[in-house]
Amino acid sequence: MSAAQPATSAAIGVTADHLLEVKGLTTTIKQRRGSVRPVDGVSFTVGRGEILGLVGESGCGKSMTALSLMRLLPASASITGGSVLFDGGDLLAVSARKMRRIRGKEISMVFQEPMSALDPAFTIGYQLIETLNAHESMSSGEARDRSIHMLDRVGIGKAASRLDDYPHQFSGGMRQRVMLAMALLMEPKLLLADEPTTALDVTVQSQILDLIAELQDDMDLSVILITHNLGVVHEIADRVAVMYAGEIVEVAPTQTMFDNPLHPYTQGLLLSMPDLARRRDELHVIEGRVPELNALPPACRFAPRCPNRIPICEQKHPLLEMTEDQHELRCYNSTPLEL
Amino acid sequence: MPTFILRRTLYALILLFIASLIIFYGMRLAPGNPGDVLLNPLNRIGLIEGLRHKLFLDRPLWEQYLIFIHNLLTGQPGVSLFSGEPIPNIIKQAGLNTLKLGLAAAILTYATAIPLGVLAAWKRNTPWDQGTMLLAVLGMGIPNFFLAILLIQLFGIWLKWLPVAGSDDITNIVLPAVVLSAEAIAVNLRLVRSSVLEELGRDYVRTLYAKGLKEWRIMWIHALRNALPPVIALAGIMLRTLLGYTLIVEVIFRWPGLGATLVDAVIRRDYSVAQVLALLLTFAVILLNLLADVGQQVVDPRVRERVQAA
Amino acid sequence: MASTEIVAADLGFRFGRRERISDAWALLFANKLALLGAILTVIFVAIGIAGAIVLAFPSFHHLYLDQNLEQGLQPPLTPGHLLGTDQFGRDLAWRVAAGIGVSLTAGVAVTLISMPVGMAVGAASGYYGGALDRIVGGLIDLTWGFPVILVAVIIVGILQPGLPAVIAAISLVNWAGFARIIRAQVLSLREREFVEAARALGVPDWKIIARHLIPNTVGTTLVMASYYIAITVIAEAGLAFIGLGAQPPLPSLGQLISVGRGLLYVDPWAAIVPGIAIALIVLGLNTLGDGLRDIFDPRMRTYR
Repeated sequence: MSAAQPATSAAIGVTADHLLEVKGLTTTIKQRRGSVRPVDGVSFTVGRGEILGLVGESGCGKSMTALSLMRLLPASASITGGSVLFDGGDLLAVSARKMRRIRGKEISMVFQEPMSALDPAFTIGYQLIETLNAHESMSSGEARDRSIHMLDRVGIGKAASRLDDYPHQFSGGMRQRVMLAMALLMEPKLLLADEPTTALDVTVQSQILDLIAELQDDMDLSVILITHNLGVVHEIADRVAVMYAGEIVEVAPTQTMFDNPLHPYTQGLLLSMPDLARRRDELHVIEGRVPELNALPPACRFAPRCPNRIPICEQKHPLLEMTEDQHELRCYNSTPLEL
Repeated sequence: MPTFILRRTLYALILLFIASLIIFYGMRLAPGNPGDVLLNPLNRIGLIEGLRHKLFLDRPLWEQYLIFIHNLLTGQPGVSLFSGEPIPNIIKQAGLNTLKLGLAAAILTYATAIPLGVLAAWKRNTPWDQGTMLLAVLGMGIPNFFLAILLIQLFGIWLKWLPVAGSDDITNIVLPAVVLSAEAIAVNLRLVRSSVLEELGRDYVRTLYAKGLKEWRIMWIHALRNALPPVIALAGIMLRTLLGYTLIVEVIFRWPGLGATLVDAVIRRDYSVAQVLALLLTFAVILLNLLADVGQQVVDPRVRERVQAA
Repeated sequence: MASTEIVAADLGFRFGRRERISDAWALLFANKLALLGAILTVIFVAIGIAGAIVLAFPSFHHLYLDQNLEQGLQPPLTPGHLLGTDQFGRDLAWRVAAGIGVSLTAGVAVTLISMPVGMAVGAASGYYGGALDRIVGGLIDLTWGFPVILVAVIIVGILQPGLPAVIAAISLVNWAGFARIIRAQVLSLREREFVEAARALGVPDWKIIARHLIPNTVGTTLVMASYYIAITVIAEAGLAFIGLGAQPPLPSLGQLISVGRGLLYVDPWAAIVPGIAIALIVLGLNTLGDGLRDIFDPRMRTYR
């Protein structure tokens, strides 16, 4: 698996040949009493052909980030700040019409629940061909061929006959493969995978992840893999970004992240993983709870739960800064992890 | 399930039987002896007696009932006491007219309610949506005969665009069809809207947007298709109510259908026609009831809930 | 004594009856829809009562019967006649009021007949279940969808046209509507613990139904009642319109519209005024029903 990392550092603001550059992205949701920012000043990059893992607990804003990139936000939400440079162009400035053409063609997304993500009233063949027709004009024969080919690629046997099947005739894992097929039909540059394996059985999870890695390699695809499961990330991601309460708190190449996690939250996450806990007597638990978005701590958002808390953590909001090569951190008082 | 169908069919038959008894005995026992109505009471007694014998009116009632049923089932329902015209002809002519009206109303209903409903859901909370919903509330609140009066006044008298009675011309069907379908349009409009809105909240719609499909396609092909089952279920229920409305609409606009004929027959005490038509319509209603009930069992329970809420 | 406590515990009478009633009032006022409906309904009930009184006492009959051929077909707001006159110079305002009285009477009469019958049948059927429920339930289902107009035409064919025939016909169908809803509610309530407890205490069945189950259905019943009275008003007017309802000299709103229909070319108000009256009554009752439904059972709300 080749990670085409540019030679220069991936520091924020330095333009290298990244496929995606997100700077200070902020999304606001208007609620009855005031508004909240599930995505608050998020910045990261994704290189060409790279798999970036976006990790965090439920509610930390990772799904919202993906939806913001696709500009598929619900009516009550809107992007209120930042910029998104995709392949050189500003995605946020593009017209709605142009954005529609980008979706499914240059940037695709697969979602978490394969059971409900497909229209139950139409065959998958219809839905695949529909995707093709929406972006390119071609004969029905060609559309059919391409669909069969894609189904084959994602590992669905007897693809030609399965074109006429309905979603409910597929199992969860198969449906997720169909979703991938649909997302990759137009050979996009970027794939956003929002918890693609969470709803699946463990054995199937592995298969889907391998499939994603394989397709990524084949098509030189960039992937943002969103998950709360560090194990998933460890398996196929090149780099990992950790999110907490709407912010990125740490970014590093995968192996570095697992060998030397710097942010206390990341450390807590790693320690909580049973197989990496390395023979402790009890499972590690991060004390406290994720803060409500409308009741955030004043400075560092993790401070109330942090074992490394020092006075400045409650006074001044820490910024995301580059430490060693390609390792970014948002913390005042990081200590190496004793494993 | 089959036992359910069997049981319901049994009840339907029992109900039909009871209804036929009520209709038959009720009309016979009511004041206004058929013989008296037919002939001038000053005529010779012998003439009246002769006619009574011919019409079997001198036999015991229960025997008359059996004769009645027998005649019906063998396809000889008799002739009108008023005009002498054979009843099957009357039914055929009137039935055709009612069918025409019903079809026109059905087409009008769905051709209006579905597009407007989808649009209202698409442009939710815009003036377009609110205006359409207001229309729906009005349609449900105004009694249909009052609407008829208003439309007659507006289009027939003030504007003189449309005729208000009879059935000679094709334009004659317009006003009756509109009045007949008013409530159906209103109810279906609300149902389509809420059903489409519910579909729009589902996961697969998000996938459709992510695929880069044009919005009209998502609305009209995907959302609508999934939103249809409750509408179909409602159609079954509405059909029975519409049968009742047809009666009034036909009378108001003097549309010569089954309803108007029945009402006329009742007012004129034309028993032979009234009995047969009443039984026919009752049978139609019971049949529709049965089909709707059975159909509802087959349809998704989730849909039943949605329809009843509307 | 013990059973009353059980009832109280389950109906949520934690704070006593008084608080619950004032709760309901507060909710009613907060819900503007219900309020509007209630106000409209109250206004028309008042007018209807006035009309009914006029109809009942012969000394008042002149109010809607007095003819004055010189003053025929006056539009509304002529001096002395708030809503105008009909072709015989009779005061429309009083005729409409009397008509509303007739509608009100029909509505009340039908409800008084069909509600107890419906509730009793529905409750018994739901409570006892089994074969009784299957038979009665089937009967209910087949009856409630029957078009009232058709039944009414048949009944009128049997009896004489007139208000009693109309009331009988509408009741014949309406009871099934009540029965259906009550039955559904009883079916679900029957499984609750307080019923088990009451039975364990040896409370007789009829008492359980009457004292425990039926009070829990009051909310729904009120909602249905307002809708059904609206339906009754429309049905009665519709039947009167085609000549099968209340007969002259008893004025019915439907009859007034029918007569007015012949006068449309000359004086549209004669038909429009009673029509608006019906529309407003129905609007008031429907919105009242909607509002009551929002108060009593949010689950019954339509999707918005």
